[in-house]
Amino acid sequence: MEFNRFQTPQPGIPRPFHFPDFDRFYLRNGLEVLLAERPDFPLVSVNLCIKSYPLADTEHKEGTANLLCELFSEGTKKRNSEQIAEELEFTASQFSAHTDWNAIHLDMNTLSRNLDTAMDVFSDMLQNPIFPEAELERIRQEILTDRLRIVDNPAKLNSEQFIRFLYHGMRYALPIEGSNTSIQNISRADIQTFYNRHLVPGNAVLIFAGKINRETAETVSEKYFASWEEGPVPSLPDLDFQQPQKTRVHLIHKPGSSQTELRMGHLGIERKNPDYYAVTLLNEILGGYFLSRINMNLREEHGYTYGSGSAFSYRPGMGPLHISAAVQSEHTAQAALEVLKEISKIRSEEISEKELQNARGQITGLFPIAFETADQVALGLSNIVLSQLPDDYYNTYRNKISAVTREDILESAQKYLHPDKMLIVVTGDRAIIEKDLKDTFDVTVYDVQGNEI
Amino acid sequence: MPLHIEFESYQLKNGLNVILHQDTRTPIVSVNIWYHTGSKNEKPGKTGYAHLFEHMMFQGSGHVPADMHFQYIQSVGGTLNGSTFFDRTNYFETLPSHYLETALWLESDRMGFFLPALTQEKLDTQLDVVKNERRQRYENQPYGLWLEKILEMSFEKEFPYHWPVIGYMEDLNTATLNDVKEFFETWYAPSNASLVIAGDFDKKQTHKLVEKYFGDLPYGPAPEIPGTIFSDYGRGEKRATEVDSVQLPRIYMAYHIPPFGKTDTYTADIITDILSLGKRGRLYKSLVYEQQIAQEAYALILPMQNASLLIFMATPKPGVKIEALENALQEQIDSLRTEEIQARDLQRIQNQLEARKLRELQTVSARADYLNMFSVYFNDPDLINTEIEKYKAINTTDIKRTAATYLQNNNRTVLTYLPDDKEKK
Repeated sequence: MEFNRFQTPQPGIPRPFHFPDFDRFYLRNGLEVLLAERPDFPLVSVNLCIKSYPLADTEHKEGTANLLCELFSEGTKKRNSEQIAEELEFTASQFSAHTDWNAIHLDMNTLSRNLDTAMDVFSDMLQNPIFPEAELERIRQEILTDRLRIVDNPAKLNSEQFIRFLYHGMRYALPIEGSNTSIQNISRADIQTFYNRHLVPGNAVLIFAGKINRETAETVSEKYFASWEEGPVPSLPDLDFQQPQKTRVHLIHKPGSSQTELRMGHLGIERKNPDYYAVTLLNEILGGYFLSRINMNLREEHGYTYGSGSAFSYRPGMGPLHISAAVQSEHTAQAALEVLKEISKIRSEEISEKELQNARGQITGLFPIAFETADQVALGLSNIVLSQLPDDYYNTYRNKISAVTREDILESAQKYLHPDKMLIVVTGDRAIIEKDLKDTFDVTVYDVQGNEI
Repeated sequence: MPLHIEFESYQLKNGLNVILHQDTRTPIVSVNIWYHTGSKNEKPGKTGYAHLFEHMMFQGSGHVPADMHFQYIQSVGGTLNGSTFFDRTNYFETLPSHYLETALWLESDRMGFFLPALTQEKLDTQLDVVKNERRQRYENQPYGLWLEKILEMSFEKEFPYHWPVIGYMEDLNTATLNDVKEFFETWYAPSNASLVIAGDFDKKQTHKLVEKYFGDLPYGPAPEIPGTIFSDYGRGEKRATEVDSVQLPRIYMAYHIPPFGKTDTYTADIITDILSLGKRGRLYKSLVYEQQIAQEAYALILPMQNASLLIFMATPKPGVKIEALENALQEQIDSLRTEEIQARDLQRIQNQLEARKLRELQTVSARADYLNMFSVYFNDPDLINTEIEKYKAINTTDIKRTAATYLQNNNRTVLTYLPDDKEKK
């Protein structure tokens, strides 16, 4: 067939895609329930979000929320740990409980035909956990061993150190799991206290997505959650944030490293900031996707790295701007300078129209792929609740992204990127990277435990 | 519950295999191409070339300027990637369905017109990128070279699974433009490839588009895939110890099992589930939960076309001797060889397998990849629907027999890692 292969094909006619409609209802105890029906596969995704998080950990007992999550599946008034596992696994239900900085999540994915059995176990874990001492001690040792091994993994180690310097003195400075000392301070009573205070229906939202209709959702919710006892809704502390004072390097010396883990950044923005959409595009263009300036520079132009990226992430108060790359040791200082160069450039000149189109096209076009499965839809709904977004958020999202102009992005870059206050944390071998870094930056060197050396 | 994936399959005159699976629920489409070549088609001294080649495929082609491949797809909201394995290399993108033609144009251009766009400069940059990939994913990870060591010990020097997919640094250092060119000419003929289109498209129009973009790509004979037969089962135990910058020791054991697709290999897959699926998995239950001597323990299979491996991994808790953990692990292995498992345990695993299959096939991109896998390896894309029957047919006697056949000490490689104390000084 004769045709001109140089000619880029014209797109066909787009078919519209919308985030699925969803229903909302409340139980008498105040539990909010959201439901999105997606009958394509005989699966149901159940997400229970508790709007409390590790900021509620008591001082010196950091890690309480995390331990609580680990213990939901380790024993209830009716079932021991092994019975819980057997019932969930026999019904092919996947369950996990974990906490991030925005919420405590109890997530389950089960076959629609097993929903009733699975919900029986799920609600039992939620409402009747007994936190057996033996299980607590076993899990405490597991977590302490995982903490011990952080130093083995340069990427994790470096990210933790970056966060530690950025949020110095705050709960955020410590990992969600807590510190070695704080993990050992937590008693069964502390976990019970956290549970009593935060695990109340008025502080939660229950989300169903998948092969489940409104009638079933109401029946199941009523049957398994109506008995959940009401309690006062807890409030969480207000926070004070401080940007880094000036650009400097913290070097974590890990002898024998075959590469350098590089993190750069500072505080980002609050989720409720009206510039959220401009910042989303700004990040995309700076380091958010393959075509971004940082990736094209560090990877495709210089070959310094296999992967790099940037992200503004969100948590109560100010989340971090976090630029990361694993770079060839010899080019560590050069890679950091290239990132600073890209930041200065994006603050001083408007991006091109093409760059804006590409990034906008990526973010808005990705929409249907992002909500193909029930789990993805459930995640979308939890975002609406936890980030306190309006119900029509996903219906207006693409228009709001499309309304952002090049001037908006320049303005956001100037407002929210601070090349003079850049926290730079590297984990690598000082013998190879220290000299070059010292030629350009103020450098402090630490051992892998974070002690200055 | 059985999910039935409908598809049609045909061949173009140049030998390109085509599979179409329509699903219009979401307005997206996945284009997925498998080339039946991977690291097993490399030669000692020239390892890592299949994967390096994969990187070069994103650097533009005859009618697509450098850097534009990513741009055409990402700028319309698509996702894309590629991956290289021992037996195959795949390339895939998912994008809003009205951009299907763009994806076909791009894939056909690099299938047919790769060489005109190849330059030394592009190769030099991608060599640096790939070396950094090796450092990031293997060298700078704790126990990061474990698989490389296991492969070297499990397969003889000339056997094509002896070396890692990423290749050796010294081989990457000597890769030339001519090597890349040769790899393309040998392995990237349409007759050695399979194209799946899955998702929202018009069947009639898509037939035409496939013919338009791929139909006139020149025919090249499908290369001989060396059918290297593995015959070293039970060749004797090999053991080695490595030192790494880690806090805890670790043990890996790799047993030779038959090629992917054989009944015994499906049974071996079930064995890994008995051992490590969920908290009821025996390794977790016994070593982590009851005895509390392991921080983690699991089993997996590495399915390959000429011979597969069943691999165990376990890390002792601080203060537990690696020998003690090995003995406890050995007890679990022995009990599989000597005792039949309970029917209820097998039922639980079958339930989970069926649900897992369903979960895996929720996205059109996963369905596209599975159709290609079954087509390229077994010339039977319908295995996407029928493979589950192979698992269901396995009974407790099969499991005991398969364990007794393959989980023998003379059929394995054992690799122990010990912590290096340097770091603490």
